[in-house]
Amino acid sequence: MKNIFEITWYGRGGLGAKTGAILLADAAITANKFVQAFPEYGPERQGAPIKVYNRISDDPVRVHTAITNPDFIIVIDPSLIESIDFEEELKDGGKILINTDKTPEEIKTKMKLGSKDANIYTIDATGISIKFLGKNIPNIPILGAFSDITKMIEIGEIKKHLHEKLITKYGQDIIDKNIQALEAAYSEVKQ
Amino acid sequence: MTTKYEALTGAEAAALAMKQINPDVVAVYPITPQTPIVMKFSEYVANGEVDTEMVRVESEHSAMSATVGAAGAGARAMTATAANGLALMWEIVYIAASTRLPIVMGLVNRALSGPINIHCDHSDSMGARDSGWIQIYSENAQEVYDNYFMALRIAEHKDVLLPVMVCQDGFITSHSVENVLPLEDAQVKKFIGKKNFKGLLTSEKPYTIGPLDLQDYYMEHKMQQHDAMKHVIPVIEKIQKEYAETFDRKYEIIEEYRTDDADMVIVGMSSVMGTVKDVIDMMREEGIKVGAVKPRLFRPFPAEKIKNVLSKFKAIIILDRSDSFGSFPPLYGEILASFFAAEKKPYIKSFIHGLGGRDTNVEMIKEVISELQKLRDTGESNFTIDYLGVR
Repeated sequence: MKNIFEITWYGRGGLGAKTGAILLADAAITANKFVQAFPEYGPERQGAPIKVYNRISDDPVRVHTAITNPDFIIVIDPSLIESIDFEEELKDGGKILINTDKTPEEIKTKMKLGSKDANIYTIDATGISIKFLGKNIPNIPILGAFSDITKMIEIGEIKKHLHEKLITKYGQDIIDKNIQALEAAYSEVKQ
Repeated sequence: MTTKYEALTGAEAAALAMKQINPDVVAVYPITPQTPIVMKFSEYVANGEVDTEMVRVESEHSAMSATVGAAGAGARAMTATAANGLALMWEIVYIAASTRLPIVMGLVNRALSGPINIHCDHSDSMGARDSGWIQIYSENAQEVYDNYFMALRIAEHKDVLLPVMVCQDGFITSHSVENVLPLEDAQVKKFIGKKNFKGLLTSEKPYTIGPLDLQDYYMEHKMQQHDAMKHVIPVIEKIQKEYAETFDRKYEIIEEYRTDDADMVIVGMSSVMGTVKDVIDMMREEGIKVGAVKPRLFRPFPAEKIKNVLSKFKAIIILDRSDSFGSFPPLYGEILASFFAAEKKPYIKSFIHGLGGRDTNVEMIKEVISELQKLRDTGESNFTIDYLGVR
């Protein structure tokens, strides 16, 4: 369990949190890491709150439990912000990335942080997604922001896997637009 | 050998193994959480990546029936299911075994209703423990993948000729992306070899299989099934050894983890054992001498081996992911029976955990270890059965 970087994604069905987590795992494997990516399955329906988890480590990952104390929380749907107990969940000194057009200072007042020492980052992933894709699929810009914040995964790797994983399902045009969104997000994180 | 890890779920790992086996016939019906196996395999069929004739049936009863028919005719035949699907194919599950057909079936462990629950426990496969199938349990996606090839060799071995279930934990393994190191197609082809089972049905010498078998011979046939099971353990050991020598991947019927100087161990199967290993590492840093023992095989039950391994310890706690209402949980009961004739017996206790997908977390395993220490020191809770993490 030592040296495992744990991530919890908070989202709603349809926003691509699961695909995002899988792409992150793919990219991390290429960077010689050991990974897990798995959703917390409940009754699946579009719009329902969901949690998705990632583990990334230099050593094989053996633990098979839900993540309760992550190093990094991604909130892909900002409407969930008030229902998450960040104080309880986040590891001390952990990081939070929120999909919002607000600044961390503005959003902080709505968050249940208590005395938690947390680094908060925001990215307007929905805005970027709408600009490049014409709809709200914020998972790829979120990955761009994650890459910028953590420097754990190169966006080049994400691009490669985005192409591999989704080309047959969505075609080149959608892939290109997602790559533009990914690159745009890389430099637009607010801290 | 390829040295490139791929990000695969347990279900995808199973489908990839099936693709590389390239069976003659796959008859399968989708059911959560097995569905991603059949989805992925259907893709391989649609893309022409396998030569398999895929039979899209209308129920699991038909899936197993078609698999039995195909195997009976000499095809390499496979299927996959979970929980209620296994329950629906029940009747034919027994027939597959008693007809001695070398079928490999992926079983994605899921709770049997009711109330309806789609998540992991072992109530489905444990219900089938007396059906005459060999049962292999996998801790993670890599084990799922490797177990498929060994399972095929075991099933088709001339001294065995029995069907094999390759079990993996529903969602926890089947839907979790992990690192999997695949083999090259040619390596798999070489390892599994050509099928030496010619089938039962031939046009040259037509005869009937599985007809009425009453008081005069039924019992002899059942005894032969029991006898066939006795050949399985040495065959598995031989195949596991060959797998290790060929691919440098070591699998044993009973895996021991940090047991060398341990005086107490946790015994369990499948995905929870990954968590157990991590918690053992934590406890070891505090000087607690605890280890783990993981049987990969439940049928036939390796009773003699388990007794030999476990008699070294002062205390053992057994984790079962299913219950046996009104009796002992399956793994616990088997281990108790294995020890009855032994002179030296450890203190022994049972925990039922993770029913219906309840998360068996690090804190719960720590609790098990603290119970183990008490058991070792006082023996007070010897022969008790408790539930882990129940409100």
